[in-house]
Amino acid sequence: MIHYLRIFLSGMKVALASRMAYRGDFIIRIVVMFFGDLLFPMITTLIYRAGASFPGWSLPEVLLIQGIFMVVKGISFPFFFGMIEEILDRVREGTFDLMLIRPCSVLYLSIVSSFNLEYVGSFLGGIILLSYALLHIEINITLVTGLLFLLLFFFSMLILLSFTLIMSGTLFKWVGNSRVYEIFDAVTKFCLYPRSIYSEAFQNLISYVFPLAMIAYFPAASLLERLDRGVIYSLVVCLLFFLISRAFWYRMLKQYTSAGG
Amino acid sequence: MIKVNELEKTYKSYQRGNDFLSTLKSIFKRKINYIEAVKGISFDIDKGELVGFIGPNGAGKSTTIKMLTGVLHPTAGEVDIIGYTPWQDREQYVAHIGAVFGQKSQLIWDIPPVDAFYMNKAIYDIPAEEFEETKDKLVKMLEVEELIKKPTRQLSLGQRMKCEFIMAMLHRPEIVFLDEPTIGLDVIAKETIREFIKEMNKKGVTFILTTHDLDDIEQLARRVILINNGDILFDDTIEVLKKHLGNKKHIRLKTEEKLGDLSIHGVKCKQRISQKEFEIELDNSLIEIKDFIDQVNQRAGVLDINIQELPIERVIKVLFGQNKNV
Repeated sequence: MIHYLRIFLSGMKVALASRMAYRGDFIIRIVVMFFGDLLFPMITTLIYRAGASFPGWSLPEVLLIQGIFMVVKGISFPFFFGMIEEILDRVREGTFDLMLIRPCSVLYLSIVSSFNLEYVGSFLGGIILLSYALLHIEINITLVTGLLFLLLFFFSMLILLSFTLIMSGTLFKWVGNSRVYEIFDAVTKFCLYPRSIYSEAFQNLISYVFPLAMIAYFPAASLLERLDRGVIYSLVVCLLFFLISRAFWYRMLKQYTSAGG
Repeated sequence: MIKVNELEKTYKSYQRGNDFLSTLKSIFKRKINYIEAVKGISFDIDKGELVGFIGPNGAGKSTTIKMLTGVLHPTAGEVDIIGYTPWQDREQYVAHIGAVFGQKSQLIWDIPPVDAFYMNKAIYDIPAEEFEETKDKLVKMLEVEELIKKPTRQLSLGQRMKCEFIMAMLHRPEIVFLDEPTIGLDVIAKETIREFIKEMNKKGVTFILTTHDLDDIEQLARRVILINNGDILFDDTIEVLKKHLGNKKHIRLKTEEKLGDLSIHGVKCKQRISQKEFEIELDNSLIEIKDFIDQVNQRAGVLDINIQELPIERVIKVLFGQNKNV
């Protein structure tokens, strides 16, 4: 355990030092992330200002969902989402070999060595949006709702990790498939709005099959005391989804063929 | 220490056409090609050996090394290295090995090598004292005290390669795999790297080396495994490899006077540099060297003579030619 903690700290240090070699680029990217992720909340605000709305949901409540999405992204992306790009490049060049000759979990090493602080822009944007939403909603956060929120927030990150594993896993077989990002962007758009705006069948799909609702909707619903019993099934599905995606990643790793030497 | 038995690796690849129509067809239906990169090879390597793997491009050398390092899963066969099966016991096994890939850097481009060394310290869980002692010793041996503090991108290829070796040796591995470690290096850098390998080998480290640079093989390897088309063609010492083709010598000859005709039985003129200077291949089984010198002396007088073993390039060319695969 201490061994893995040391690898983590060392990986963070190296990643930060590498990134600081190009400080200008680093700062620009943070700013771009910050404003880029605020685009959807701005569109949502425009919709509400124009008199339209998502039935049963006030503007601050929708912004709460979108703020949570940005915070989850801002925390989880620096720690593991970068592994998609890392694996994409390493598999194409054959340098993933170097990960396999290190005496530790190759999945863990892939995560650690792809640490990317750029997504802190998303995190800052999310915190601002979340604070704005909470200030405009009359809610009483008790210890129970607070703990429930943290549990669901953890599962939210677990789902993002699962998607990262699936997307990066495919890259061992379908080398150089940079379209995986677009798949992720398209899929996660469904996380930005209240679940109730979708048809019932689609609601079930994103709650109990591909638990996208866990990414932002369920944590927000816990603060708004709008959770239903279905969340328990969704938690189980999330856990299964993670285990399956992890097994998938390792199965795909076996397909790695390196590159010519 | 290393036991390899009937090791095989077959890659699956898809055949695509070159013209527009066949490319379009390949979207719906592709022809599968199976490429046998390694065809059931077997060999043993003892502790402390320095074995050179040679062969032309695509012979199966790197694929073999990748299976031995646990990077690739073989299609069939068994490997036992210090009690581990590389691809099954990967995590435990790789703690005992080191690797230097001439074309794949373990250093991190934007930060100094010394920071990458500390990353390896954490990954290999090397105790602080042991790490500092090994690092200092290696840095001194390769004379890179100041270089390791500069960002990797500012180092020359030779300087980077020295740091690659330090990276690979920090955890004191028992076996080191070297895949073309001197590629692109100048003569001085090659010499430093070769001396380093020799020095570490003297200390008991087993080296497995693949290279296209036959000087590496001649200067380092006591044993040579020659691979072509996934098969082992030869596995013995360099001396035996050279003798494989008969007892031939490479001679550089200078005469006092013009030597017009060199038609001596058992002697083949490889290059006529001038009318008084020649490069010759002499078949010792057909003519003794002293008889050859006597004959030349009588005709034109020997001014200078340099007798060497056949260059290994020539040996390999002939060996591959015999197998009709190159």
